[in-house]
Amino acid sequence: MYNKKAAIGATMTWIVATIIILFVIILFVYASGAFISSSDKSFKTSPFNVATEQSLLALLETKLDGKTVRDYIIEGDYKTLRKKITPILERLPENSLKISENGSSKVNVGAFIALSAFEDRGGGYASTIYLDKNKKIEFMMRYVKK
Amino acid sequence: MIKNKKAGERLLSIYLFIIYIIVIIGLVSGIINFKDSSLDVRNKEAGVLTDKVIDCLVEQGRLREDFFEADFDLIAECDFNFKDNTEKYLGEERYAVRVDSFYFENKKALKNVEAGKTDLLTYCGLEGEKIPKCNIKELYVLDVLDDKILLKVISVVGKVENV
Repeated sequence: MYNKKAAIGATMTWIVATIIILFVIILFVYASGAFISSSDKSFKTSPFNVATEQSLLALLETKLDGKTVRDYIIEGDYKTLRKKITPILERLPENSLKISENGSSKVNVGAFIALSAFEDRGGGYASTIYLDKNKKIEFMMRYVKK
Repeated sequence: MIKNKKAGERLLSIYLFIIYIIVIIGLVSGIINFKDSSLDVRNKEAGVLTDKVIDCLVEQGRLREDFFEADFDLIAECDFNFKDNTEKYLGEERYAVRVDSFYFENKKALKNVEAGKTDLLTYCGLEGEKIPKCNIKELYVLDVLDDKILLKVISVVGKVENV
């Protein structure tokens, strides 16, 4: 009699355990299915900014009235540079050019917004070049002019 | 007493067996869920292809000189192989590239080069799962004579049968 009671108790425990396990398994399977259907099935990798980089290199070699943009930056003639380079940047896909010397901004042309904002608007990448230790050139560009 | 104990163990082993089955069914269902879910990387593939084309045609911001030659062969010059040698396509081309160059000042067309399965290019601008994926990038370059050029590179990846 005592033994029988013990078996009933253990059986009841396992019945409850089975129900709990069944519930957890169903929950996990359902959750994995929901996760798959809701998730973005494309890779999100960091962008390779070859287009922006090559555009920036071309900009530096562009001649504006006989002098390259690089020469203007080396000489520190930012006022003339800003005036002359703006028409070129306006013809390119949405972009911004920032030149800073010793940490202080010297040229800030275009809609200089955060890179994340470019990405929200369809993608855009940044490229940075140092002409020497102090002169930093940052360029951001969208892929396509819209 | 011994008999009762054996009966209890037998009863419990049935539940244990049921639990094993439930756990196995759960694991298999979860794996099937993930296995059947496709991952579409064609957008990224098209992006990488565009970057490769740019990397091949432009060096230090300058467009390579032979791009403007009449017999410029993009596939040969850039060492591309657009053939898909998987069992499904058996060497069929599933990629296309178009490179347009324009005068920077007036946007007048200079030269365009196409390579691969060019029919795919007509799908650019269309949206849908079963539509080939396009990637378009514009960049500013110079030619050897320091002329300003706008380069537009379009890459398309087909493989719609895989989706």
